[in-house]
Amino acid sequence: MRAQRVVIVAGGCAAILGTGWLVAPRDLPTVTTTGGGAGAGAATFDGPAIQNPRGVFQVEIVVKGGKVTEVRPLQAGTGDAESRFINSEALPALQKRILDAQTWDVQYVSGASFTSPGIVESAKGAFKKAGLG
Amino acid sequence: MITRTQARVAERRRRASRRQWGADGIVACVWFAAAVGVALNVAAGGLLVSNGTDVVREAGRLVGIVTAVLMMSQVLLASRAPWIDRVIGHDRAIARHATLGKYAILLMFSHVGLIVTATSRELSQGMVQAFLGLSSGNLWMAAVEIAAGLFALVLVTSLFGAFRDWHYETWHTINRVVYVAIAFAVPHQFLDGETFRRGGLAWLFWFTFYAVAFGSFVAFRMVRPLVLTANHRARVASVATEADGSTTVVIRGRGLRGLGAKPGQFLLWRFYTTRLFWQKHPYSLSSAPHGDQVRITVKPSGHGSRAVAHVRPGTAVTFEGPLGIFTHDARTRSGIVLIAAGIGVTPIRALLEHVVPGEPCVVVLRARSLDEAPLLDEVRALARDRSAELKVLVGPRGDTWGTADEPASVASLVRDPSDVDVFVCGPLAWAKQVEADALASGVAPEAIHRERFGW
Repeated sequence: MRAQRVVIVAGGCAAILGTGWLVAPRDLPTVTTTGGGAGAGAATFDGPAIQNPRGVFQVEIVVKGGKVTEVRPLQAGTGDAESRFINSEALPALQKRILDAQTWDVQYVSGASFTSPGIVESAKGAFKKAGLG
Repeated sequence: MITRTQARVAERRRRASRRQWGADGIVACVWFAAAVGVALNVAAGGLLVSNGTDVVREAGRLVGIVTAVLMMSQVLLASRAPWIDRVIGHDRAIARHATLGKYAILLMFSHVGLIVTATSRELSQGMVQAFLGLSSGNLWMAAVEIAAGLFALVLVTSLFGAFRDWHYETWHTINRVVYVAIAFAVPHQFLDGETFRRGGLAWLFWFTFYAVAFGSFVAFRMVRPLVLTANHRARVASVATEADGSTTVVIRGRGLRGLGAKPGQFLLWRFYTTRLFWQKHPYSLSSAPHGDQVRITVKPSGHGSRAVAHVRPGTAVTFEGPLGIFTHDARTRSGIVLIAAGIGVTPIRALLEHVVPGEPCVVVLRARSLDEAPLLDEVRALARDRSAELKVLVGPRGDTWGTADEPASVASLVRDPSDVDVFVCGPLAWAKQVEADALASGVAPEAIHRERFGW
């Protein structure tokens, strides 16, 4: 390839990469992973820590009067951009599904192929511990 | 006033420049594709790393993206797509395929290594455990583990096989395993990666990219041969033994003229006999196509070429091609020098047939002895008819690409080496010697055409 064309191709590549950088987000969504106390008359049950290639996943559930009132992620995978983008959407969705259905056996969030099984597996253990099946 | 020769040369140069644009365009597209792949990852926030493990993982992803682009370029190069053959030439495409293949496999293992390292750090596991754990709960990652295993198998057998004299078919089978491995490896990018959850652009880009590469491969390597077979129903018309012991096979098929095969091109042939069915051989046309008839001349040297002598008329033949840019279309100058050694004479003989009488043309044939020079009488007759100058160099090897008694150089063959195209076909080491001599004699690099037999 002639030098002139090499420069054009290199310049084109640089422009493409630069565009990618320009439109890239400047910061990542925060994924809150904190346990907490259970209120009066409630108890918390920790699920097991589930490992998969996208990190460690663990939830605790808060049970009050035989009913699960909260699902809290204690650990939710790796801190890298991909995981955090996924988790910022998948965690609330899974929490809602578990709470609504009152079971750990909920449908996976599509596109969250590691977060879903991690959370669901851990929730399963927590439910078992709480004696909720 | 512009003479006819000048007009012809101008047209040739225009064509060569167009082809160069095409070839450069393909290379540029590969670079742009890699840049777009990386840019899409960056645009999705890939560079926002918060610790060392993230850095390793992101590096692994970027290497993976470049690997995917390189692997697909590999598939494209080997696809025998006419739009690649016409600008790069099938032989050169395959040569590049072989070189790039090593880098592609190395990059692929770097990708796996980096991702597994990141995972093992994240989970405080050993590397083996981290690798095996990739597939936990994910079918597509299990496919990736199989792919990695297959690639390792290919790498090991290739290193091992380099010390052995394996049949071409054995290599071919190993090579095919790579395609299976690629098929196992591709889905995880779509189904595991978040790239495709967010924004349709990344999905569209990668989908198009894979569709073009796999589409070309399926269309030109799988479907087209079937169509050619069904359309032409080619059969062996005659088999004759030449004076030097080589075999000339004439193949006739319905509408073969419609193939548009040009002198200097080759096809991949498969003869339907018990011995030859499993093999596909590249043989150049040994004459310009005449009507619905094409002709090849084969020297008994390898496992398959010896069996060609025993093929009977009426035997069914299938083929792929025509392939290669070792044709008059590739010329850029006014004169032509055709240089052949041994059975390399076949495309040279075909090219000579289409030399315009009176055009400056020198033909050089190199052989151990006159008895061992294939198609010598035909070349003599054609050279006389085209008023081309013919030199036959026979005898043992010397320091040049000529013989010990008669050293040869392009510089002494023509008055102005800068105004000729040189076509070379013969054994690799010898052909490279001719190429080096032509360059040293002042022939332009783009005017040197060397046929590297490819598959």
